[in-house]
Amino acid sequence: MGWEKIKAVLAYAYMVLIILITFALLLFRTPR
Amino acid sequence: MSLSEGDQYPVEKSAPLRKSLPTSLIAAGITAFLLIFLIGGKGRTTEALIAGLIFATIGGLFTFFILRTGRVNTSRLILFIGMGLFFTIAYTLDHQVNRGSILLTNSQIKNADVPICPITVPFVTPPLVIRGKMIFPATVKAFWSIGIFWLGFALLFGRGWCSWLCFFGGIDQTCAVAKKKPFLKMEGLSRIWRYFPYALLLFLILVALGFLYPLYCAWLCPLRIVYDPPAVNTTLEWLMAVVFIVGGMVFLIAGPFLTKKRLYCSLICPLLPAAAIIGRLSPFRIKVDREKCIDCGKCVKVCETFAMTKESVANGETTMECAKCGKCIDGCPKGAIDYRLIGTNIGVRPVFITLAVIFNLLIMSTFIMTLVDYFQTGGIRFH
Repeated sequence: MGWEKIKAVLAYAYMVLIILITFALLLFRTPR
Repeated sequence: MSLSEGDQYPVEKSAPLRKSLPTSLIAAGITAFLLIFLIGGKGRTTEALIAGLIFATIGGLFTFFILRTGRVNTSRLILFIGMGLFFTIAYTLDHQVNRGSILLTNSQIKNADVPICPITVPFVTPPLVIRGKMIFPATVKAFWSIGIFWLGFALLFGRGWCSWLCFFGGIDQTCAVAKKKPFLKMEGLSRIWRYFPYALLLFLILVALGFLYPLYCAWLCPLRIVYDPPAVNTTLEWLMAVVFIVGGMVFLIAGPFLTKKRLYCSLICPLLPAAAIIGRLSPFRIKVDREKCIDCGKCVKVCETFAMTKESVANGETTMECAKCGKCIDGCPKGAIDYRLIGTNIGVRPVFITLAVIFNLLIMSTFIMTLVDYFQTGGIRFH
């Protein structure tokens, strides 16, 4: 169960990271 | 406990109020925040507030309905087809107003003024990165923004893009649900057809790299029966038009209507293999609980993208082409199928649904706001 929890935390962190990076690139790297 | 044939296992698909209500409120809050932030960023505070509140309410209601009732696909269909419809109206209106016609002209191709299309990302990126040539008649700037946007969603949802976020998917989706029962039964794909989209994409990439030519857009894309149909003057353009009409009829309209399968999205679209491969990194999976599964085959029958096969169900999973639409979840008589976190048995339906609804509404809101702009100012700038 411990390992499952670690994997869950990593997966959620990964999700947040993808969303943040995508938004950041869209907002700041491409001129609107 | 022994169950005789015909007995029903208890199905617990719906979430209790104390779980579904807070999740829906969070979905509504994030939708409002993003919309007010994004639209408000352009200096239109009142519109941003009104749009934010309306879309937040819609997002909250859809999330609540899906989680509370446990039925995914009906709400998804409304959101997905709605998005496709608003996209089509905004896109067509833009062309009618700015070009004077919905037809794509040669001068636009020469001036690189064609709206960029996410479907081109897998075969336009290689020549752009390797040979430094932009082969689609649009600006490199527009291409990178749509490329980043699509890659982010593919990493997050995998082929979930194809069932929740793709604004081109509404056409074959609508035709696939129009009839109650299929006229032609198609369950599962032969090995050749399963790998056909991968071979097609590889071919398109090689042509793009070798000849710097967007073969798919110029000659093959069945979507051009609706979006950017060619202006027909020469014999060659007539031939092109015939290819688009036949492809559109077979894969987008008549085929899906008769088979109840999303044929374009399952057999032709270059985003299918790209999203399926990148989707291996998505944290979301649809899994079958083998302890509950009775191998009735209903999920295989109802899957619109051929992503459930007898072999995959026996392994408790879908194929990598699964578009995460939720039809199998709704169809399973034993409640054995659900969204799970990759590599674990942790159920992530609330997280997946919340994110999918929010991003669907964010994309849909840009099309609706384009239309609102048009009615306020008479001008439209879609791309």
